[in-house]
Amino acid sequence: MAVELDQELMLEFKAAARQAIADLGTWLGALPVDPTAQERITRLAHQLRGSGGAYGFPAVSTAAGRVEESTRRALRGRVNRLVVELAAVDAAIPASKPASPSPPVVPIPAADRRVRILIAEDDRLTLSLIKDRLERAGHQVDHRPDGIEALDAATSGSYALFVIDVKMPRLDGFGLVQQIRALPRYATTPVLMLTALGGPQDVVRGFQIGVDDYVRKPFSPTELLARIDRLLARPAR
Amino acid sequence: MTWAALAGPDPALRLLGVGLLALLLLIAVLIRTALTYRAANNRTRAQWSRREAAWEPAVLGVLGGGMTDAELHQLVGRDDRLYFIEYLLRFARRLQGDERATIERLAAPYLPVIAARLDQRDDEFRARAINTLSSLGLADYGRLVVAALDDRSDLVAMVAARSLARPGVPEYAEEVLRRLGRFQQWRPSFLASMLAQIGLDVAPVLRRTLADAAVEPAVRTIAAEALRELHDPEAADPAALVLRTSDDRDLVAASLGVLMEVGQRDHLEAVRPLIAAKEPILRARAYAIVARLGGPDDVAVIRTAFQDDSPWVVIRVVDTLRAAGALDVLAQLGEAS
Repeated sequence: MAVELDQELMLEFKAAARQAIADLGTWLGALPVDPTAQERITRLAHQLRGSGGAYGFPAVSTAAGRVEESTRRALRGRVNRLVVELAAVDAAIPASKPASPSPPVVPIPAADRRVRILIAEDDRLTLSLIKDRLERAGHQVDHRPDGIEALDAATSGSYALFVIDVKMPRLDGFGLVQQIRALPRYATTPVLMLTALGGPQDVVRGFQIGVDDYVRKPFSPTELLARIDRLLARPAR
Repeated sequence: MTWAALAGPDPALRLLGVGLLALLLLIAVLIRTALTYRAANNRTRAQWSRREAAWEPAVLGVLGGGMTDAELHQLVGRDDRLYFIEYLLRFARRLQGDERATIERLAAPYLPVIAARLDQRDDEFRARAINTLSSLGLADYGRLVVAALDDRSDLVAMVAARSLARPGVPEYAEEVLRRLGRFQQWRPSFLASMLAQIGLDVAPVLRRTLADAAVEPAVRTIAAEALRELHDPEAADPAALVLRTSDDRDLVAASLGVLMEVGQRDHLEAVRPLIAAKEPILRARAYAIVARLGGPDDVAVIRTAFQDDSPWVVIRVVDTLRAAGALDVLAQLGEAS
């Protein structure tokens, strides 16, 4: 049964739902799911659209759209990670303003392009080289040593760009990009891949799954920064 | 048996007692030595970790333009020079472009210490020194690295060869090619890949080597393999020349490999006689080239492959026709045979 909510309440709910979903990683710290978390999610879901019934997380699958296939597998394997999409939340809640054409994107001046960047890289020295250069350029940099941790960080945080190594433990760069691209808010966020794999097939595969640019190892931090600046300056897709 | 018995008048028991005591003492000494070594290793590791912790921000500072070379060099003690070079090597492996040049500049004052190690008796010390010098100072120490190609140790010579066969640096290729004969314990395909990684800039030297009848066939074979890996279109002519002038099986097979990659119809004339070669590998490659480059007139020639004694010849021809998309020819031959 759909619940009629006024506009303000809907926006509040939408924010709460986003927060709830962002918190899932913490809530589901131990399997089986914490009952409080389950109750909170269920309540939110009922408010939105009524109950669902899939995969042991009925509320989530209803409230937040589809549960990623990989997540289902991960849950069966007792990995404490859950990726959900907010598309259904967005679709279920009417926009606060009538739809209008997007305004033209004005490139941001270089000095103002200081953003939060997530680096997924397992080699400590390579990470230091990238992090140092990006921080000198004024960016705020977070880093994670493997794909799973990077995905958790991306899910719970908010990033304007990703620098992702291909070869990483637990979840490789290609898998990470696919998971990130499945999150609606990162559908167009620039992703730069840093890799020692130089074969054209790897490059093509990267572009097919949503990588925006490649830098090959060994690399020049100056070139890397130039490419990142270019990605940040380009109009949103 | 009791301790009292060991201390008794029986000489055999006394001897056994003394032996046991000695064994216990030896075990105690070994345990103590192991623990001492372990503690010393831990201390050294902690020491290096502290030094690296001090060097890392400084190296990053120089790379980022926030620190001078002199400020960094002040952090490197006289006894730390070798370790500092090892540390810079880790950066060099990860960097290219201006930053790589900066690392080489930072290493330059310390490289004479490494060059001095080329006089060491130990092969591995010399090999390591060659690797370091070529990674961090090839421009200044290239002469020493080239000289190492003639080192008494094959290991050192190979490290030098690999260091000189660097992508985009073809100027040492001829020196390496000249010494390829000494690397017989390495597989030819490895040596060919080593040369090919230099890139197309090395192709002219390889073509000259392939065409030079005065060069030993094993070296020309490696040159042909490298040219095939590079897909060098200009390698087809010297490869065809080899087919006409050489009877070395490996060299001819490698030259056919080149023509398989980059040959043109003009080269078929040199290839066709090899359909009657004694060696199956030569027949297989010759048939494959005819199947790939030939026209309708060659279908009759290709058909003879199906009567070949070696099944590999047939397989190779079928594979080539399939890869070339000549399925109609393949079907026609299949029906006929």
